[in-house]
Amino acid sequence: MTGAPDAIVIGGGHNGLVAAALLARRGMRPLVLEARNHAGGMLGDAEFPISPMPFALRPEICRALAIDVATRPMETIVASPLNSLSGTLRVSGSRLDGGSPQQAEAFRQLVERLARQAEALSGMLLRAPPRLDGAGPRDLLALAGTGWKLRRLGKVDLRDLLRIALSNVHDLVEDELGLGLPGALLAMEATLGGAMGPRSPGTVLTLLYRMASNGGRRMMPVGGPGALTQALAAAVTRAGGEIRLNAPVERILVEGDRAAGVALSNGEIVRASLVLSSAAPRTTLLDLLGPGHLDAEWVRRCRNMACTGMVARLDFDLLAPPRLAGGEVLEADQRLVVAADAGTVETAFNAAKHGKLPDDPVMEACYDAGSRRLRVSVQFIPHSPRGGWTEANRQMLETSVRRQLGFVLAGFEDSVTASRMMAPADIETAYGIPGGHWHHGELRIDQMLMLRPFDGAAGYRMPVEGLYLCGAGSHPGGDISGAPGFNAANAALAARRH
Amino acid sequence: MVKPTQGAPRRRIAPQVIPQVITGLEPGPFHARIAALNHQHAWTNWMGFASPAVLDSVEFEYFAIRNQTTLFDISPMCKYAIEGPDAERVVNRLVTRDIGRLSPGRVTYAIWCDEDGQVIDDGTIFRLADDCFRLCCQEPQLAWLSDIAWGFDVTIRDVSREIAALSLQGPTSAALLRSLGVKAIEALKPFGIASIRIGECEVDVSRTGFTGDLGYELWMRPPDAARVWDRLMAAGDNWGLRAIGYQAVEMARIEAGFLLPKIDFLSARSALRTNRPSTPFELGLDAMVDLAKPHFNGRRALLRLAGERPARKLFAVEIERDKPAANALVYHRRKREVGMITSALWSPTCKRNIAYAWLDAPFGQTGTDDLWVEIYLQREIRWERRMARCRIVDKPFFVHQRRRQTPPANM
Amino acid sequence: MAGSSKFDAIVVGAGHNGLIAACFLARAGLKVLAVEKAPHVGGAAVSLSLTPGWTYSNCSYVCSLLRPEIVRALELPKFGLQVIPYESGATFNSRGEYFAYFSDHDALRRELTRHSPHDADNYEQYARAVMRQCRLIKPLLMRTAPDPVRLRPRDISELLYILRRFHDLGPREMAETIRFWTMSIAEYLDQFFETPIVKAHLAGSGIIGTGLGPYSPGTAYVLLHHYMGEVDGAIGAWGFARGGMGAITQALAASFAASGGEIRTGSGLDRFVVRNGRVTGVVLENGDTFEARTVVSGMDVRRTFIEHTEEGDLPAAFVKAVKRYRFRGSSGKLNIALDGMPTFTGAPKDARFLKGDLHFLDDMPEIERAYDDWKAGRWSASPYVDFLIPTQIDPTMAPPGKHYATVFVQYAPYHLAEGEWDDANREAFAETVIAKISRHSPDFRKLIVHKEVRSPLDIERETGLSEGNIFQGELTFDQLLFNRPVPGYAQYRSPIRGLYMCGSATHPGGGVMGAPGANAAREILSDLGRRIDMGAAA
Repeated sequence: MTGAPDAIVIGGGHNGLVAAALLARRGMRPLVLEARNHAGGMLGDAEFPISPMPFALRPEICRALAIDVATRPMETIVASPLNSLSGTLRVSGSRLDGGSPQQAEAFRQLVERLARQAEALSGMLLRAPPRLDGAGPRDLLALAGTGWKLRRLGKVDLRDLLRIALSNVHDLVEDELGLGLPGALLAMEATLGGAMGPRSPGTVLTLLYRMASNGGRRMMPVGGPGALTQALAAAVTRAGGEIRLNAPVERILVEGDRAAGVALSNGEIVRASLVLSSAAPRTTLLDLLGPGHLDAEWVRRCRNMACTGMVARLDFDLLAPPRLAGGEVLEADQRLVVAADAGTVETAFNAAKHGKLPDDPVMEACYDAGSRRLRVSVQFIPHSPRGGWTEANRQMLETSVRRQLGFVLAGFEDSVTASRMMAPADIETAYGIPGGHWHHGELRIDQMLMLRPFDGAAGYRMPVEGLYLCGAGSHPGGDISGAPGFNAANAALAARRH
Repeated sequence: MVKPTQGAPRRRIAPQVIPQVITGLEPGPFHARIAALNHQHAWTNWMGFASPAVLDSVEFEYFAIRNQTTLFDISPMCKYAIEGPDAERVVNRLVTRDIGRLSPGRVTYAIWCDEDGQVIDDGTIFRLADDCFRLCCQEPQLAWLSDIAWGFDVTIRDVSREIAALSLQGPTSAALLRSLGVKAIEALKPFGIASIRIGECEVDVSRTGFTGDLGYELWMRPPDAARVWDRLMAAGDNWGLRAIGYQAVEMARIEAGFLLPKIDFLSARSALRTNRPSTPFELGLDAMVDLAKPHFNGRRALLRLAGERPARKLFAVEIERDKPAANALVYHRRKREVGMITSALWSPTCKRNIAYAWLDAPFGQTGTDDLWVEIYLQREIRWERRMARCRIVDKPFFVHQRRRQTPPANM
Repeated sequence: MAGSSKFDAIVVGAGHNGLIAACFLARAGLKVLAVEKAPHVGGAAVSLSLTPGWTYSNCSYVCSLLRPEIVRALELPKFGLQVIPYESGATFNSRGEYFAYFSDHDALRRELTRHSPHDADNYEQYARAVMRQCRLIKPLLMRTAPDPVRLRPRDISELLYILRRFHDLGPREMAETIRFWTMSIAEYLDQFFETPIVKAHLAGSGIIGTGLGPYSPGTAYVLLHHYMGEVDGAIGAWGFARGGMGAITQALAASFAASGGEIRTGSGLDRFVVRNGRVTGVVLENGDTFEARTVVSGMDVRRTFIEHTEEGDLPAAFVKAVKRYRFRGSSGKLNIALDGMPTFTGAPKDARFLKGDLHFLDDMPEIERAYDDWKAGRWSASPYVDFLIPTQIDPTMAPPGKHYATVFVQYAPYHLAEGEWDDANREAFAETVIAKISRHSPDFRKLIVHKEVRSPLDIERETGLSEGNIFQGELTFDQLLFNRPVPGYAQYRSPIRGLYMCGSATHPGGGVMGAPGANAAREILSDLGRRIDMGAAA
């Protein structure tokens, strides 16, 4: 890059990189400032990816940024810790193997219907959220477009969507699939990363949100999550942007109610009239910008954001590739989900919401053959367990996870040589995300669309001129879609044209 | 999410005696003294306290404000201490005017707004020291102040019950204090604060008030309240001192051009209907808004609103003849409804029929002619409707040079 | 009259909604028969005497939501209905402290200030926010929900009406509304208050009667459902019906009789008679057969369509949707005759706040744990109770000096994970509740003269409310507005011509509101080319 930057992007996570790449491709000179010694943010570093099984970037974004990351769809193996031999299913898209034909058919119908409904709603993902105040012609057109797609679902699917949209995934799977493993999978898909149990109303919406990307299928980048980071970083630099690592931002500079640049924690000042922050909304607004630049109601709404994460990450170094109870090896393009049914997912949530570690945690895991590590995301681990994250609590968590995995993986206990753990509180500390939440804020109807991250702060543009939010805390939300970064950069570019 | 709590133990619950709160009106720090003088037994509810509506005669109590000296208990006002290194920043973040220009020992009138630039309340701000402010206002603001102060190094305390207060108002009020040996009043300018002694009691005096006349407000510890009252009353005979009720104060308030929340405007924090609150520009308080200072609450909204014509506006009006027009509707050319009257009064001092009127744009702003109010008069149980001409005038209705004169005159 | 078997309309189920629909139809000039399985009218709004001298409000026990339009139009005061607001309430915690609720604004502020000055201040903001939502929803109660899929002209105009009301709120309030309608009551209250006991006191309204916990999204709406009532224009106020809740249905029955209606009690419905997709009458369990081209069911959808209609007369998708409809009873009830007024350890001697709803709670997580028990198929070990002694205000319900206590209990499951609702379990359930109350009221137990214990199963058996759900079905979003009871059939009509629904399973739901009955009557009369008479004030 030559010359001073004309835009600063705070945070080199995937959303920050997407935003920077888009700005660069539109002729700007963005500078990405990343606090850690690696880009990728929540994708994590090569040693310990926080998100070992990313959802893929939206294809539209890959096209716009000319990124070509090969991905392969992952097959999901759902295994019940209660009955590991008969209780194993293989799921790929809407196809379910290992259950009864009736189960397979019911699963196919439900997943395909959800995929159709999610697809009809997906048009909203790559647009700024509709506005509540004085919607312009573009907003109305976009709404009309979504309305049209919804009508095209047909009466049956549309009625169904209007009924289930705000309901809970537990009831949905109970109605459509009955109790058991297929329901466990959907209950996990709907709740993973959040702080709502499957019986919480609103969890069908999070399921639909996931279904809107690749029909809900996980896509593993060839080369692992790191490959995605590298491709995005390359897209930034190729287009003339710059990425600086080890450059934590301490403060956003404001002059005359306009963003003027940032101050780094080493005291260095970098000036630019456009600042995009992919840090969490609370971090950006209350820590970096400071409440003094914001109205008190704003600050209050920002403080009230629900953003307590409930995912712990554990890595286990293994002597040999893990084998399922039936003897098959867990392949690199397979994901293991450990839960017996939607009820056990809820039970794990019960404990976590009261600040207790669940006795029988539910989780997903994948095996990285290169490092010989089993990477596990454990769902419903309280952010602040009673007594805090003491050695005893960490030990208790690890023991229960090992026990659960021992039920579904043959000889697991004997194969483990080492382990590492990041509790939600560790993710909060290490990645500066308040609450350690995957999505920088719970994906709930009261924090979605024009209410994401909170009322008044939607639409990426902040009240201080030239400051934008471009992280997962903004519409449409988390998972590795890149959409918030993409939408925010588009909003910033549109504002500059005016 | 859910924070942990203790499990429900099965043990018996230990008896505690927590008395029930007072229901009905609560006696204030001067209650015994006022009750003894309240020959009308007429009380009103002011923030839950028993406040006298009238002690014996509204008329004579009113004239005492403009002719002698009056004593009125203002203890029910909400009072907050704002203290700490960031106190000035917090107060500046709260109010629309530049508080940096307020010196220690001075008081100012200020308003504050929500994020939409709608007025929340008005009040007086006392700068007691560099990093120590006191806010006095009509409506509870603790939650709002805490929101404003979040993230700043400041403490906010509700000191409403820690401070008893009296309003000593009228042309002979300075003379009365002088006779008690209060030297500080000679140099005390309007909106100044001084620490004095009345008897053995420490009292803060500020040259402030709601009457538009020469007058003081006295701030003291509640245990001293009765003694200060007694000293003032004992000294007051020579100066025509009279304890008064709320109705007389209200008359002087209207003459003096002050607005009252819940009467003349509705706080943005209490309005149920979203179109009921008002902006400072609608209230005619443009001078209270300093858009040049850095961010304060509602600034961005006010910047936008400053460029727009208010949809409606509050005006001081004078109405022909002598019948007060409270709650009347205002018409253009006797036909079209264009607004309404809030406070109204036949001013015994000005001999004018005065009122505040809300007028929809453009009336009052550009079209000031041919405005009428509809007054209902009761004449021996029979109601009559009267259309009276009204015209827009300047505030305040009553102004006297003795209010500002320093040192103050004796009469 | 006994000989006549032909009517213009038959209403099945003489609960309050059935009677209200019947009243409006009779007032429109139809010849109407109301049939009721129980030996008395009233459904879940009854006053029964189970021990000499005492009258219980056996099921529903307080009144607020009953629409004033209905009371006025059906002249219920003339037929003996008197609703008295109650003025206070309290929550006692296990440390011997209490939070007292006063309808006197200043007393309430002092009481809140005693706990937290911030909470006192924020209560004003909270009350305003809830009041704004009440103002928004109130006009929707007495209207038929639009069908957003079919979109006939009246659906479009109703949708536009709702959208316009929503839009008129302004952007800030629109956002607040979306949040309010979807948030959990716990998080909603956390925004305003810091004191656990204050939040616990207010949270109860968010979970009464539902299979959700205070931390479940959607419970703020349930709170609204309990707040949107009024007593004489005091929105959110609750009151007692003088003589118990049966006074409401007795007044309705009298009003119905005065309009020429006929009531038959003591024999329930056997089946609806359907010919060629059209209802032609009913057959009762005792074999009596009545003909009518209009039949209105006040029963819930499971009873109406699964138990009393031939499956072959209904579309398969409709049957599936009805089977999916969720009841999930979650409430139990104790009615207790007391030998005197109990004392409460936490309450001072001169306490004036015992004349309303009393609760024994530490905080919201305690309610959530009570909910966790219910999810696991157990009654709550430490249940939420809504405890009232109406005889402090209404002396007609007990002998002089004696008292009647109504104890609503949340949560109790319909299906117990272990065992059944037999006498032993019912007694154990009652003991759990009485033990909890006794911790706060040492003399309570020894004052008990008689008690009636009602599990969800008992409520189902006695009132016909499936699974004992007091709202005739959960008040969750998949079962509200145009989804209530079944998407596509939310306008009181069923797939069978001439067969209508008027129970709480229809919009806007339960709570002795009466709106479903009145709305159903309006739709029926509109199909018959007539108009409902809501009286001069409507």
